[in-house]
Amino acid sequence: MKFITIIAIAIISLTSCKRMLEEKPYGVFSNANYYNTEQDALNALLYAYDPINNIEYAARFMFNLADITTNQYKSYNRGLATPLYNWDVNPNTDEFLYFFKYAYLGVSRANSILENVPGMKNISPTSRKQFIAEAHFLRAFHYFMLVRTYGEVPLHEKVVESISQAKATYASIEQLYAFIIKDLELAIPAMGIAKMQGRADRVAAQFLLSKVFLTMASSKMTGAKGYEWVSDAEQMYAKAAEYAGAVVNNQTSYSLDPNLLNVYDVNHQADGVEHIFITSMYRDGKAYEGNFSQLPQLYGIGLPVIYIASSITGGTGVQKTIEATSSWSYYRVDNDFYDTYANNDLRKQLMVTTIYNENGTVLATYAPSNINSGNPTLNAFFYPFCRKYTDPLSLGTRTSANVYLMRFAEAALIYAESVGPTSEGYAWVNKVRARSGLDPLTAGLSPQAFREQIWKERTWELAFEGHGIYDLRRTNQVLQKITNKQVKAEYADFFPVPQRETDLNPK
Amino acid sequence: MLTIKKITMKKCNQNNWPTGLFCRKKMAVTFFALGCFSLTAPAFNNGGNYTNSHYKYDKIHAREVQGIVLDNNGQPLEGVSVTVKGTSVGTATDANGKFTLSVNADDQILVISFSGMKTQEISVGRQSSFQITLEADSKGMEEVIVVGYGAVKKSDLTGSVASVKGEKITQSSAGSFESLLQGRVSGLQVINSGNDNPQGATTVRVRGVSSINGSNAPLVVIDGIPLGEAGNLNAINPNIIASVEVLKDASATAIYGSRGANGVIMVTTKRGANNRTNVWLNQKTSLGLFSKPLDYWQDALTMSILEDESLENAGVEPRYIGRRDPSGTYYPSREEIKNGDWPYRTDWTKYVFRQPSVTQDYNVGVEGGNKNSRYYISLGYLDGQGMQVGDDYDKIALDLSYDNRVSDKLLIKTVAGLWKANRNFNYGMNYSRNPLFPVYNGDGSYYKMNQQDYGNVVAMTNERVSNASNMDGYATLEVNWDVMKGLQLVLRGSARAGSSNNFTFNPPVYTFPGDLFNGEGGMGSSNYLNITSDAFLTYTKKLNLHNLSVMGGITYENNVGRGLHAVGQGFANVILREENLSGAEKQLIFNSRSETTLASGFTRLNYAFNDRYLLTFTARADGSSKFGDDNKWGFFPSGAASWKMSEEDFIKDLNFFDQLKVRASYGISGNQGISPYQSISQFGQDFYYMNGKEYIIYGVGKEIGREGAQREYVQFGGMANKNLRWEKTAQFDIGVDMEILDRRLSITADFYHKKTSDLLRRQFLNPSTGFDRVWTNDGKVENKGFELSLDGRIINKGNFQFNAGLIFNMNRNKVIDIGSQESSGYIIDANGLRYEPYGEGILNDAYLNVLAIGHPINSFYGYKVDGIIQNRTGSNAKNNQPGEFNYVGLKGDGGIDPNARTIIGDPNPDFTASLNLQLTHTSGFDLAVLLYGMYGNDIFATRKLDRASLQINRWTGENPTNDRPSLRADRQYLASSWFIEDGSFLRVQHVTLGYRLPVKTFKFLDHGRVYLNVSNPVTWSKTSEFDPEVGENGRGSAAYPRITAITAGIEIKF
Repeated sequence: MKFITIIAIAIISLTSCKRMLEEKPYGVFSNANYYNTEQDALNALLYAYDPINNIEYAARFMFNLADITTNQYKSYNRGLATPLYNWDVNPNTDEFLYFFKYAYLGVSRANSILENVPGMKNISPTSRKQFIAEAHFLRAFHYFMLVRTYGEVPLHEKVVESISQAKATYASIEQLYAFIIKDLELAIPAMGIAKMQGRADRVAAQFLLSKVFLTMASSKMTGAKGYEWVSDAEQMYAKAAEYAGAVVNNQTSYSLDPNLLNVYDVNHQADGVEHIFITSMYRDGKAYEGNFSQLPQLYGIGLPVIYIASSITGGTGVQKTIEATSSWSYYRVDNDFYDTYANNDLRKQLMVTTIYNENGTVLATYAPSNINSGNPTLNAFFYPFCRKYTDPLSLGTRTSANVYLMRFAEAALIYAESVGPTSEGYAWVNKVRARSGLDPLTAGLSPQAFREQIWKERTWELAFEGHGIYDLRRTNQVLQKITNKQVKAEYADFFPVPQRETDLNPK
Repeated sequence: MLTIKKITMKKCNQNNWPTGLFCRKKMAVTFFALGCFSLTAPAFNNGGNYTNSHYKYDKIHAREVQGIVLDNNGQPLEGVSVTVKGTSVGTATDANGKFTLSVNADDQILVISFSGMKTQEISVGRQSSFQITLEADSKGMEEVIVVGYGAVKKSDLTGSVASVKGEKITQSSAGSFESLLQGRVSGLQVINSGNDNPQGATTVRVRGVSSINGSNAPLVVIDGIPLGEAGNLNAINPNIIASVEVLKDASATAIYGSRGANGVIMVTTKRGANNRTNVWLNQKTSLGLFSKPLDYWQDALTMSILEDESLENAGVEPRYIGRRDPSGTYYPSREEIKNGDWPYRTDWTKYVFRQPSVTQDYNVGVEGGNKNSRYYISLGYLDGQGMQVGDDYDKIALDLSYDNRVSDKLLIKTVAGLWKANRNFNYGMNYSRNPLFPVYNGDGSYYKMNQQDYGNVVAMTNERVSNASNMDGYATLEVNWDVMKGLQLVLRGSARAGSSNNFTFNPPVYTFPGDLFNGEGGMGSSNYLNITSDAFLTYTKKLNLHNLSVMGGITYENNVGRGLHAVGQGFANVILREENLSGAEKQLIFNSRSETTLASGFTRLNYAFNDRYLLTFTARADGSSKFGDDNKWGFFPSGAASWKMSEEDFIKDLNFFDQLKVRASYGISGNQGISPYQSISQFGQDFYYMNGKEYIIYGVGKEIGREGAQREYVQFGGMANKNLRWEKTAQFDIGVDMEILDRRLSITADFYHKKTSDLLRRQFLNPSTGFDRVWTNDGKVENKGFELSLDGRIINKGNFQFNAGLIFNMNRNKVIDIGSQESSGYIIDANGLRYEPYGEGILNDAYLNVLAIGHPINSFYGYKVDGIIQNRTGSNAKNNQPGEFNYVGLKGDGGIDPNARTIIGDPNPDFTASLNLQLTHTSGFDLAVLLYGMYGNDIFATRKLDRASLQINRWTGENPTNDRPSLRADRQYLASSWFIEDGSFLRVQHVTLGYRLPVKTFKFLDHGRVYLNVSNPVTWSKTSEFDPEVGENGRGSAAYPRITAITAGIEIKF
């Protein structure tokens, strides 16, 4: 029949028009249309750095996991900033899940660079080499964060491209360290030295590798759980010394900033000599937190505008911690921790005990008893607050206060710890002490006593910078040193892999 | 005067008008149809004892008889067919119900028939004047039902189709028509979970949930053109709906192939009538009130005591001690509250809610036509108010239709319309804000409890801008060409296009983003174009007892959308708000484009033998751009058979069934309800500041949504799934339609069994992949159900008429399979339960709803709670103390064994039912009541925790209850059985009292009615939720009780 023929023709003509049904990704970048230009590669590389800047990663949760859980902070039973203040945590706790997730976002994005950039055509050989090396560095950085926080975690060496690749085996801690070391050994020779805020160079990679070996060495030496497989602590200390030595002795771009306050000056993050790797949040950054920072609000006490001394050496003049906005009293320094600093230690002044009026007259002074004061200003000032994160030039609540991921002072302390009580070891730890106005360390200490001194020095030097629990774990001191809160013993060595991961990818 | 012969010929030529033009009263077309049916299918008219031999032709004694035909209410009926039995002589009644006819002999019989009425036969005898009252035919078997690409007589249906008339649903106002269908149609579940949203917000399901994350919403087809998915289709003005048909089984839905799996809702709009002109006007005003008193803290002292108790139990400082807390908020001491030194007691509900909200709905129209053309013009205006101040929606809609019969063989039909709407958003305001805070400071500025307080509802209402507007238009042109006898070609093209804009401004000080950026404004603009074109041929042939109809065609749909969104941040001067984005220090632009294409071919074959045995075969092939390269095409066949048993002598001999038909069907339909580009990888975007420059960066993984208690965490997606393909639903349906007791009771019952395979779903991924979710298809879900619909004319004596309708739906849903563990990564828990998390986290737990093999979709998974701990168990850990939940699996160290989790509830109802009662009196009064209920579903009631009035019964040393835990601010709540409540409810959905204006008194009127409708006046339920009608995931959501709407309306036509 005529009409059947018509229908048949119509249907046949339809099935032949395959092109009509082709899906084109209008307005979306995809594997198919990306990684064409050198700029594409750079943008993708920065996308792999990007997770670090977020609240879920270094800009808040790292502090919550590493520092809040230790004696650096206490809640004073005032409000409920996070359950980590009293270790009231479980595998569903937000920090455990999202810190994990963001570290793996970084892994996945670094993997994407490693898979795509080597085959690119429109890219200079120098950039190709540099970008690939940075991706190796980043992957090592993220896995080092993961292994120290969670212990055994799934190892993804490639971008996950299908559901069947989603489940990855939990690598042993030994395998993870081997993987991290391999990545860094690939990165170091391929990288140049060029200080850039928000990016890593060869010095940062050497720094990270020295810290990796340091962690293995001290963990083995102190019998920290999970590191039984490390063959020889001293051998690892020697490797740590090799790479930390390269940082402190074999380059000229970075050094100890003679002025301690300069290290924490928001205006000298990009050009300061101290910072080897620092985040790059910027007060005028677009979109939301992560592109800019709100760290000063987290560290300040709950008052609208706070004026603090412009100098920590006793000069006059005051400055705001942040422009025209209130703080949240989130990170509350434990006054007992404050008291562990020697009175002549300039680093003690990095915790504020006096606040001022705009004209420089004293407004209030910290005292533990302020917590019971009826005066609202005094009542807010019941702990000495940390001034490492301030931005007097903030745009309202948006600030440029960044996270100090790798500082030269830490490299000096890593080196000193690695080489032990040698003249070089003493020289570097004493340089750090001298900057804070302290006398040299007692001479002639045993290697054990010397290293214990270094660990103390680290708590004073690196307090509130996201190192707390990692240093206690690698020195097997968690239960001994955390005394102001009830440690949940099962999580002392490693925090639990989040429930969502273990549910979907069982160990 | 027309002769039947001529009319009949005309009718038969237009036998195949595809959309439901036959099914309306007072339309001459109906008359044509009936005329034709009465000749071509004699059995149809229920001729009773009549036989042809009865007829005797007498050409000598021709004389005129006249009469008037009235309905039950004494209203004249127009367009009623009056024929002389066995002859071609006939006429139709005029606008006053009158007719005049020539008869030749006294023993002739007049057949008076009208759509929806029982046909009557009257002997002429010696009478020359007749007054005939037609009774409504309860089930109207002559009704013509719209199906995809055609229409069939209801009695010839082989599939499962339910139908509701437009006038049933327009006695109350709504922004979209879907919410009005609740309880009206068997097999259609409508959840009105946002009933105070003036724009409408509903979830619509046909025969349960079959897909996991692919859409479950039925396809809505308006006048033959697919419009979109049911849920919130503001494009349709409910007042112009003539009828709604719901296609349910595979035989009925397979003609829509890849989009038929969730059922199809066919909307037919009103058309004008030939040879007459009418002007009509409908007006409705609704008042919205809370159906129950609000439950929030009014007693500030008790509130402060309980809050402090909660903080103290957490081991932290109490709040009401007359000091600033760490955030800088000053809370008065309990003493100050008690003795009145703190003077503020703000009743925030007064600032948040309208009592009542007022919604107005006006519709005016003109309809009419001449011999060859018909037109219908309607203008509607809805001014809707939500319960919250400033939460508004208004819409103006113009709809036009014009049909013109160009020649005997050519009919042109057009529909076009334009609608424009404005929405002002002011929703989700905190009416339970602490009553101790004032609205204003002494200087008249808005009070903020601290610098970070962005919750002053008056400030938000007055200072914030958040609105949207849209303008949409559509036009359809259809050509029906009768190529030759029995062969008709329909060509149809339709275009829909629209643009929408939204405007936001967040001022500094009072909003969070405004404070962050010193003012943030945005303007978004988007537009779309949808082109649909189809062509189909229908061939009908009757050969003796064989009746054959074959239809085949092709269709092509293309959807293009583009969007542009501009944001300005940082305003030196905020006076101009979002109108001055170029004045912002920083400007951001986002844009988008997407395109999808669907191409299809379809066919349907209907065969009837002896008008008793009916067979239907339907098939459609669909190609969609959304799927992976190898999976673009899908084929969806179905078949159905039905047997009109009441035509058989052995049934007739029983003398019990007035009508009896059994049906069976089986077929496959599909679902492609996912967003485009899921089969290719999608990169994300962010900004990165480096060395003085801000880079726009891209890479693997993109934001696809948010999660967390405050939606503060980003979800990442963008992983490609190249294997994405159709989700398929195979459905078996067996049904029966019957009328008994002299047609006073009609029953339709259906049993169905649906199996959905290749489930499209957004699977969770373990976070180490760098992705949170990905689209996949794998697994099987089954739905089995039973639907019953009863219609009874219980009293039909004297002045009273009492009709009752019962709709009963039962659906059993079960997950059969969720793919291999390798591919889907499902979890096997300690009890051997195989499940996959699904849906968002809840409270402090990662998830609640799961897909568990052997259990219904959305089952709740979590811990069991066995009362409250009364004596300390185990360590000092907080979880082990008296007053805590006594979790099954609670360990001595305060930990809870995750292996103790199990299925703790099922949010799917055992059944839903509605009862529709209608009482009509000849004086013109009518009363209708609709009851709607749901039974046997569980609710995860988070309100049980936070509802103010329930707090007082918390566990304390003095009140060692087993019902509620102590108050403790830092308790982390896990998904547990403590929150599970029985969600059954019974609601009086509508009560309508109407009065039909007597046309005899108001001579100028054709029709007039005034009515008063109350919707949702009472609900009986046991849940702690403010409203028992929650979403299908069973999570309580309503912020306050359901709204009772009182509507007064008038309809007039002249």
